[in-house]
Amino acid sequence: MENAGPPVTLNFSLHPLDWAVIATYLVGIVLLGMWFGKFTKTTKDFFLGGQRFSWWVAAVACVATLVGSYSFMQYSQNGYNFGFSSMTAYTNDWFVLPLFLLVWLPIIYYSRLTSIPEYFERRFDRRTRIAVLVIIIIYLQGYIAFNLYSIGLALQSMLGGHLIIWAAAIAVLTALVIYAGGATSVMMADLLQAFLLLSAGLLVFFLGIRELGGFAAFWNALPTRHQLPFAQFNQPKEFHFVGDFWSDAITGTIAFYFINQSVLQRILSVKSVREARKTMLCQVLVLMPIAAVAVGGAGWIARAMVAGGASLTQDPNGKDIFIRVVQKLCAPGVFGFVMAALLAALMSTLEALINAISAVAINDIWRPFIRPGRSDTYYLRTARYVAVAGYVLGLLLIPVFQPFGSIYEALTHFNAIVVPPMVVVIVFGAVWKRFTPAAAFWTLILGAGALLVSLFVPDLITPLAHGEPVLATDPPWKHHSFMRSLFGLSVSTVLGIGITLFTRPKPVGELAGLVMSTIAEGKRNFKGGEPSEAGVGRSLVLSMAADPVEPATVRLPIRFMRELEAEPGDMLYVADDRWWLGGLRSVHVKAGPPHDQDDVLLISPDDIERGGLKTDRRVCVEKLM
Amino acid sequence: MTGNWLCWLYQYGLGGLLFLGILGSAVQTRALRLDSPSDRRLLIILLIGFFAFLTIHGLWIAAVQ
Repeated sequence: MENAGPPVTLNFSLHPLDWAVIATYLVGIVLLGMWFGKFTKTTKDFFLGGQRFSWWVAAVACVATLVGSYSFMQYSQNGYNFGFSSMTAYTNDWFVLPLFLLVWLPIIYYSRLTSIPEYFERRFDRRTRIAVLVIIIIYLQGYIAFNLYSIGLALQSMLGGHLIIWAAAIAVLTALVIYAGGATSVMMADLLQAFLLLSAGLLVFFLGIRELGGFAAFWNALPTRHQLPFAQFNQPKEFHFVGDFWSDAITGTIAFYFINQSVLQRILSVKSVREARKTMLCQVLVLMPIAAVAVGGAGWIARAMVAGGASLTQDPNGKDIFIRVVQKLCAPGVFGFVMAALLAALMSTLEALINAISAVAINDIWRPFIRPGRSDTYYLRTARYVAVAGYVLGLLLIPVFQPFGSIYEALTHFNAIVVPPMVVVIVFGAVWKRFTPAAAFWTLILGAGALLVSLFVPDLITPLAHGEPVLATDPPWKHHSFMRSLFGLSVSTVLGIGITLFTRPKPVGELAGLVMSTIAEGKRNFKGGEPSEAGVGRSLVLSMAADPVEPATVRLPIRFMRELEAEPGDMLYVADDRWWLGGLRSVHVKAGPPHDQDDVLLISPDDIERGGLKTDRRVCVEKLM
Repeated sequence: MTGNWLCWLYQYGLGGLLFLGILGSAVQTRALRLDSPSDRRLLIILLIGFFAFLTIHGLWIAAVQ
């Protein structure tokens, strides 16, 4: 069974109501993006949304980034073929959370990193940064092309026409959102898109339950194997538990949260490490299981319907099952809503990838190597051009993917070759002070080399394959595609430890804030003084007045300073008091000397402008550190 | 159906080792400070989350069997 392949042509004729809903969504999302563009004034705003958002905005936006191209198609297909075990990809991230929340998050936040390759230079050396840069650009640009291709394929399958034309049309629409406002626009668009795609997926699931006569009827119609939460241990070769554990729960999760630039941008867009932790906890504990039902539910419903005698899919592997179920269950207008959600899923991922590649291009190539020392306005303008170039290059790369019967599988192979060495290097780099720059560089190179060799000599993987079956008629590079991740992790771990023992580590003084044991130093450097724990997270609401105080500094009444347990120099966050804005109108500042006037916050006109604050509104002041 | 219990053991055994190992290292290096109320709260939430997933999956398998 393949995860992707030539499109199944469905030849729909959409009802005018469906067209109207889809058109409303597309126009709405572009206008929304353009409106939020006014909050983008610097490259920090463009790439990180100004580090201003509340945790819930980033959590929901992360879901929109995660649920992307083919999620509905792929997980519905998995749900149809394998039942509830299709959820595991969305519910097995918990093991990695301590590493992310306690180690990686404070490292990247307090080091003020704007891109992943930047970490590799600071922690190791420039050649390691360049090696990682090359890998990440290929990874991101490949995914952009793949997303454009899959959008084109989906629309061509449903509506006819030419794939490239559909892909180009979607590229123009998402480019408008990105060009207008970068991360801020993408975050706010993601917010809407996440609600849309989750509600549409859940709607299909609940409509299916109703169609089947209630949850008990649905549950009883499923074969026992489909009711279980895990797949079979090591077979069939297309989807089994142990392969999913190593390739998704361990490698995929670390890759997604630690290496994926677009996720890094989501997490770093929130106002503090404390909020970022809330983002992740909410996402992994609450939103991901909901998303798992939204994207896989149609497949479970389809399996129950087929068990009851319905004839749904025309594809033997169930590739078209999501569209078929939606077509069967949804009335005109509702069908358009679900299709708009599908477009939302596709577009939100694409927007995040494009914003990510422009971040990498500006922060890792343009600013350090090509045009150093230019104004922020120049880099902001260039970032927008790079975003457009990313789309053009993505469109140009589509024909490269077209001849392949299974692009998704090709990308899975690409990930299995590239990702495991990066996972090992990033984990060792973050937790092990002794891990050396030479070990990092050669683990990346030799680890990827060993994985490439395994494509031609798959027997190398066999001792670690946990008995995964191999189809003799498959070419060697298709053998053990699931278990290749474990092989890559094992080889890279041995390389990393072995080379470290024989090479010289970086002086400890140069590792402040870059490894687990030096996070406290990073926090101190971030604040520019000793962090204060007292009163952190406490907030107060008061009026605001423009005053010629020092920029990036505010003055609070003595009483308020005392209530917040704040001292001059402490970091504060000032936001519009309307919580539902999610921090859209907000600014980071330091506490200045207190004043003894009325209950009013004194803030410079520049900071009011920078934070998009309104002087006729009250503000909420929170102590960050 | 015993295969699903094997998966459960594998996931929460190996995954649990990784999970608890990182928590232990974090405490040792003071990346997680037990004297900080917010860090203690975070530790409790992480442990509750882990045992919640473990329990839900376990009960689910038991119910289907």
